[in-house]
Amino acid sequence: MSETRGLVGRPLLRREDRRQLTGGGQFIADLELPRMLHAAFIRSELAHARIRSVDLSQAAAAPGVALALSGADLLRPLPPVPDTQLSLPGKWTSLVQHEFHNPQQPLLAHDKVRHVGEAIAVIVAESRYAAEDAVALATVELDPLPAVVDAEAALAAGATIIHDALKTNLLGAFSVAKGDTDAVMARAPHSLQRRFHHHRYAAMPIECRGVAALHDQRTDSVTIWSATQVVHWVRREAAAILGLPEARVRCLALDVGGGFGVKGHVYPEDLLVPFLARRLGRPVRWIEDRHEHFLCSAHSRDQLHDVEVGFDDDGHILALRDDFIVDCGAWNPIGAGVPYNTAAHLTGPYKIEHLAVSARTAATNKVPNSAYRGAGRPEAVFAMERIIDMVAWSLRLEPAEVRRRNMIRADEMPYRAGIPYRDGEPIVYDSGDYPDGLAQALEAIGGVDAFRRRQRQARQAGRHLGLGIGCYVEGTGVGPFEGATVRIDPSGKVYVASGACAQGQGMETIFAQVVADCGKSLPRTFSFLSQTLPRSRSASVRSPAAARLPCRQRSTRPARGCAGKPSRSRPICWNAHRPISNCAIVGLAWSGSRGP
Amino acid sequence: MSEPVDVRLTVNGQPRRARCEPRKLLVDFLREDLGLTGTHAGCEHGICGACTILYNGEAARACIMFAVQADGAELVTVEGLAESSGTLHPLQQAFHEHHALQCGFCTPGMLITALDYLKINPSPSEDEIREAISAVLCRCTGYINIVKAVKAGAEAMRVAKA
Amino acid sequence: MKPAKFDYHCPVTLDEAAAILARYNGEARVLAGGQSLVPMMNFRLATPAAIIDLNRIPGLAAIAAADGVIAIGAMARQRQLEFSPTIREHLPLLSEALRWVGHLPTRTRGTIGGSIAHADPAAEIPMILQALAGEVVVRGPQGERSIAAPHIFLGPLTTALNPDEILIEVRFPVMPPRAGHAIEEFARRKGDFAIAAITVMVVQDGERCTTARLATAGIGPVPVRLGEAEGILEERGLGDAAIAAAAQRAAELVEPMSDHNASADFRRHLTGVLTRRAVAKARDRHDVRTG
Repeated sequence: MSETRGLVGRPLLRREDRRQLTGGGQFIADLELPRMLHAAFIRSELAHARIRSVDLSQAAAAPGVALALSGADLLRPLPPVPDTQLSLPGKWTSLVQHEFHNPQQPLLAHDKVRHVGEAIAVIVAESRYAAEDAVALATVELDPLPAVVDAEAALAAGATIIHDALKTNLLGAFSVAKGDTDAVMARAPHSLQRRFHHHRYAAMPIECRGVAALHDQRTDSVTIWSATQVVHWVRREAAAILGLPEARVRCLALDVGGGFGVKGHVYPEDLLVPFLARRLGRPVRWIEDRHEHFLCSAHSRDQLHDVEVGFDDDGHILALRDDFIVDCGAWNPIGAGVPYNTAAHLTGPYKIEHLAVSARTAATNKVPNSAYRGAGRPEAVFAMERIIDMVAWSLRLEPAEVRRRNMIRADEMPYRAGIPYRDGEPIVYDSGDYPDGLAQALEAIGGVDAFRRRQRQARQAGRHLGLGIGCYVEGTGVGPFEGATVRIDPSGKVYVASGACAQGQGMETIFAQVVADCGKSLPRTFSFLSQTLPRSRSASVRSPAAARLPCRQRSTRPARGCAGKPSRSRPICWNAHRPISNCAIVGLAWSGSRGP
Repeated sequence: MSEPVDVRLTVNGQPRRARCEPRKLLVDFLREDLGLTGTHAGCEHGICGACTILYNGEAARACIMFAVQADGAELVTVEGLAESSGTLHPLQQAFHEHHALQCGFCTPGMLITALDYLKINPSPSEDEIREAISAVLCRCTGYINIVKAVKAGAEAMRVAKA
Repeated sequence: MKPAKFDYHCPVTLDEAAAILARYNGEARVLAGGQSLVPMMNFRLATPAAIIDLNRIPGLAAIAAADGVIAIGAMARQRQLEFSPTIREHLPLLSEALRWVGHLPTRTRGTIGGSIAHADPAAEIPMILQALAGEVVVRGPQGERSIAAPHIFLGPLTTALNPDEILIEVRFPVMPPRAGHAIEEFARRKGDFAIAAITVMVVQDGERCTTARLATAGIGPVPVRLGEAEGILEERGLGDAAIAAAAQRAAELVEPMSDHNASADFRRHLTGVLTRRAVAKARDRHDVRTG
């Protein structure tokens, strides 16, 4: 068999490294376009205030300034960020009781500011230095309003309302359940109630955000470069905002210096910058600085869980109730996405037959929340793992043992969890031996009994040793599947198109490995572009996970044999189930591929 | 007095020159006026270390220096580490072999900071490496592979010198 | 985060620098290492009308040892001092402190004069200046004057320098040859400004402690000497009981701040803990050096 068999799973040195090691990476701030202008924002210094006036006259007249625009100026030409920030899959909406009000975020605040850092006006100038000089000349008058900084207080009667039109700070709610939690909880031999708060979190990639855009007058098309994890989503929303068909909007992510979720949704700047480029007839670039990043790049987590658990003398969990609140800040870009991840992952590896989860999303005058590494899952695991420890302690049982007793066993796989995943499909755990996994982990620390002995001895000597156990099951990808398209041109160059954007995960190397395994030959050189293709079809691909390639190989021929004889060649056919055309392209060049 | 001034300096062994306002930060001067975008600005207040360059042979943060201060100086940036043939510097090679980078944004600062330290301490212990690279923030790797890479790079550099 | 415009001056003599500074009548700032000033300018927290760059003035970075005094030019880089044999021999406590100041790349540019003139309450160099009873020499339109350590630091980021004065030299008495010394610092990460730090120098003669110097950083608005705690050691020696008493008195003496890093209570608690550790460490080092 070919020596390249089984590349997937082997550690390979990365293709991306050379350019990153030699200063040849191209991040958004490295992008230079002819006649490019630079944007800077005037941002709110108050958490909640009515905008009384915005005077940009001095700013507009400052040296090097091409444009100064306020939220009021934008109201007519630009609609707010589209309501489909994160659409709810149809099947989910039919299964899960929910209500969601997504306040429409204007690209520049015009009536009120709702968090410190919210953009009020934009300056576009010959340099960032000149733009910031002009920002200093703007005069904004704000009438302070009481700031709401606590999710429970936001939902209490009489709370200051952040989105006046909604008349409530409750931006969304859903509930999902299985079994008969009320009855079983009431009958349970023991029960516990606890409150858990998972604090607010910020991703802090070393590269801040950034967007550049260019409008091509001849074709009335727009190219957007963004340090984003979601090129397709940006493209779709930008097309809507600009009133252009998606076919005439391209979105590319160049090298991205870390995402971690914070670059995983469409920000107002992603849409405003293309608008400005078209309006000005010159490319416009905005690079977020670290100060802005602290102020207005999305945070995450900040969930408050009220958990109730009913259990028996052996620590078997009979029923679990979790009512939680997400403090989503001033806007809700991710909609139900993160909170539903929390709900779907709550029971994790445990078999809990009676479950009732309810979630409420509360608006506060903080930076908006979005996804961050786990996107709602760690919050669920935190609540579950804490409560199961407390179950164990209340019965004076070993926490590891209580977990084992509650775990889904290998012989119970596939296990139907009994609630839908966020795509609406029923959650089914297809495989896994959780008790064995836990046992192996405990073996690795020398066994839990040995640890407890050591712990007791240390305690007598006044030293506190701790053992934390965290067990989780992670659902990845929205599902039901991702796909890719692979094409080979007559020269033997192989192109793989998938839905992935990279922020350091090594996609170029990963895809080369995957395709090399399929083609039994290792590509030597290639170029990687993370961008949308011209042919448009909406895709709900959001996660930057590497694509699984469902493929059927019909025939193989040496690439050289194909070259120059297209009419007689039988192309290597890779059939993805559903070619996704708004995709990232990975171009692979095979130099002298060897066929079987 | 705030009008543009000439800045003449040597970068990666080449004489370079451009005109800029006195307030222009050295990191922006390198990136925009000299086209050397390998040096990155992560924080613009001297904390993250991504902008680190060698200034007259010693590591310094380009985001908190003005370009005019580098007039007459000799700078080395990440673009100057590999040989003109393309062969990577042993430290770059070690980063590559030990998977010491993911997104690559902090990498130029890491390389320069490590190189500077290795001049002072060519055979550092792991603890000493950890302390030295704590000058640069990395959000992706968790630092473990960077420490390995610096250790291996130091070894390779000692061998090359011997 | 780009700085606002400023007039840039690059004098080649101190007289020229002083004259320009006076001309701007308080609206100009001198630029030494820039490691504190330029970040503030990038945030536009500092928007001086003019910057007077001291980096081209020759002769401001010399280290001279004479008559029991180490005179260090204000523009001496922290890195230069860190590796200076003169400093290591005569001011080993300063050598030790420098390794706590920021990171090597910031010490490349940061200066001893700049750190003192900036007067961050949590900075290590001002603490050493207090502990070793140093002084600074400043030059203004009226000429030069010295300011002794206790009179330099008036408040957070505020020194006794007039707006038209430039700090040109830092002077320390040579440390006694067999002094033990230590720094204990509590910070979230190495290189951060101290949440609390204690520095100690002790000289022993047999069982007696003939000289004790204790100073703080990060605890209150300015670095202070803990005279009464020093007195306890000089009176009772360096046994564990005396050290414990001195540590307790130190905790009582300080006027700690509360901020987002730590409460006043915690800083007070740290004062006691760090004093105890630092004095013990200094004592043990003294024993090693003389033993």
